[in-house]
Amino acid sequence: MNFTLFDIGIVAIYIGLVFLSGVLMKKYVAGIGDYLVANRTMGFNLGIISMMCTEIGMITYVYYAELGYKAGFASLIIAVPPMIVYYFLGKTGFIVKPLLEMKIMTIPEFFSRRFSKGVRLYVGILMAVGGILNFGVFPGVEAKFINTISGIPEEYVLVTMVVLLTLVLIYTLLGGMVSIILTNYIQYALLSFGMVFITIYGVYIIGWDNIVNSVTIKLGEKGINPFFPTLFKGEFGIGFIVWQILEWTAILVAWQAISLRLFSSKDSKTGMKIYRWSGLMFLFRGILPIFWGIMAFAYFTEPVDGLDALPLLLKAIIPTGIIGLIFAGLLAASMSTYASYLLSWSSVVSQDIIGVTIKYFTKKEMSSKRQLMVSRITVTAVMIFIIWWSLFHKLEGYLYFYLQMTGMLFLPGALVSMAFGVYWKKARTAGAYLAFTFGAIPPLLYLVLSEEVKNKWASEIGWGGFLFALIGMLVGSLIQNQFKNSKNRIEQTV
Amino acid sequence: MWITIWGIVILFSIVGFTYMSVKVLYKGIAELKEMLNNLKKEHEKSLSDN
Repeated sequence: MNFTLFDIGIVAIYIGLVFLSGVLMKKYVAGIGDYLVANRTMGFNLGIISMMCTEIGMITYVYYAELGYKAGFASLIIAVPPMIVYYFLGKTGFIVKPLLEMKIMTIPEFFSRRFSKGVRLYVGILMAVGGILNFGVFPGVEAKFINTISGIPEEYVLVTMVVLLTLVLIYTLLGGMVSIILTNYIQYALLSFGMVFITIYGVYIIGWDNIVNSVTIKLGEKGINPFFPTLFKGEFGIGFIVWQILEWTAILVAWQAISLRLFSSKDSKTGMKIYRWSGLMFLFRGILPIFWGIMAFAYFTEPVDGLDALPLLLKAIIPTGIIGLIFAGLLAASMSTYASYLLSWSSVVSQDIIGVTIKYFTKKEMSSKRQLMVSRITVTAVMIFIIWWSLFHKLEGYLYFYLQMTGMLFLPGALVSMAFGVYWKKARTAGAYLAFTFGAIPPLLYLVLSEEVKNKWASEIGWGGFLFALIGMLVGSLIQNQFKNSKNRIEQTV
Repeated sequence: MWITIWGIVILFSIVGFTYMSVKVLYKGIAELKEMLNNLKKEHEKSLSDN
């Protein structure tokens, strides 16, 4: 199928509409509270829409479809852990309820209050590095996706990405979270239509029996049963499930882009309700694109690159006119993710690195207006970096695992420090420092090791990060408590 | 057995996602209006305080 002028027209109108909505929101932004968390006015339904739009981009579909294409039906299990964790956190309020009640704007702010400003700065640096390295592959992967579907020659893809990111930058800079919530609404309308259409139309064109037979014949039991050959040895076996549950717990309490939505909620009751229902939406968010990858596996008789499977499938089966709408929806998905992630990571840099450093030297907080200006400058700087990183970094192994491991540079330390910080009175600053430092070692190893080792030991490295972080917290806190007790005893003797 | 499970999960996902999406989009309109009104009132209040 060709990407025609009609499709281009649909995309242009849609982007124009989204951009205009974002710019019009500028008048609702007066201070940093409005800019980062929409002054905490977001309701339940907008919260769900915003959560989905933030965490769905073209890259989401690409990495899930890659898993489906390479591992068949067995990879559908990957969509289950986030649902379990979301529901658990939303029901029990584990960590999330105390965070909401603290009325913080960023995750490192928690560390400042509970531990020390030094921990906040350290966490801010680790989060910024991990988060921006994670974000840094988005433009490259999505540029390739756009190129494949639309037929734009590869030499123009960089220009396309820069134009799009600039549009996103303008409405993010001007309106912040308020723009994002409104534009998310518009984007979700098209996104949801696209997801349903691709799934139903794909099954209609390819045929369910054909899909099942292709996987069964070419991949065998391994392509159907996630625990093949055994629960302990399977690629998606118990080690993998444990890693994913820990990782998703960490993501949902400490991933800045998601927690910004939590902090934007009207109140803690709304925030927790958003979490409970987001679990189901995240199940759907995983299941549908993984299934598209499986459809691509059945459709193509010759092997294709895992990351190209989805755009090639869409290009092959979706009719003209509809492909324009779908493409606009996918582009919208990416734009909303870029806006949210630009805002999230730049807020960590501006609030938790620059803000803390300036306060240390000047002994006073920056004014709200100045914080706003610094936020806008850092958003621009992050955008420039991710374009550069996308051009120069070469991906190895599953894309999904790269994204999880870059996040893991701070997530194990964050989860352990937050859980112990909230629920264990004896958790100390030294424990937090060691939790973050030890927790970063396994994912750092993953990022530098060979592809063969990466693929074989991913799950062990995954849950290993959390184990190391736990050891760091316990050792650091016990040592500091011991030192404090000894100091008290000496003072009493004197 | 696994194919049956995955088939049910996929079907549930299509139906569930469609239903939830229509619901949140429909109810989200009222919330958008309320959010913008609240922000407008806050700013008018802070302007009159100043």
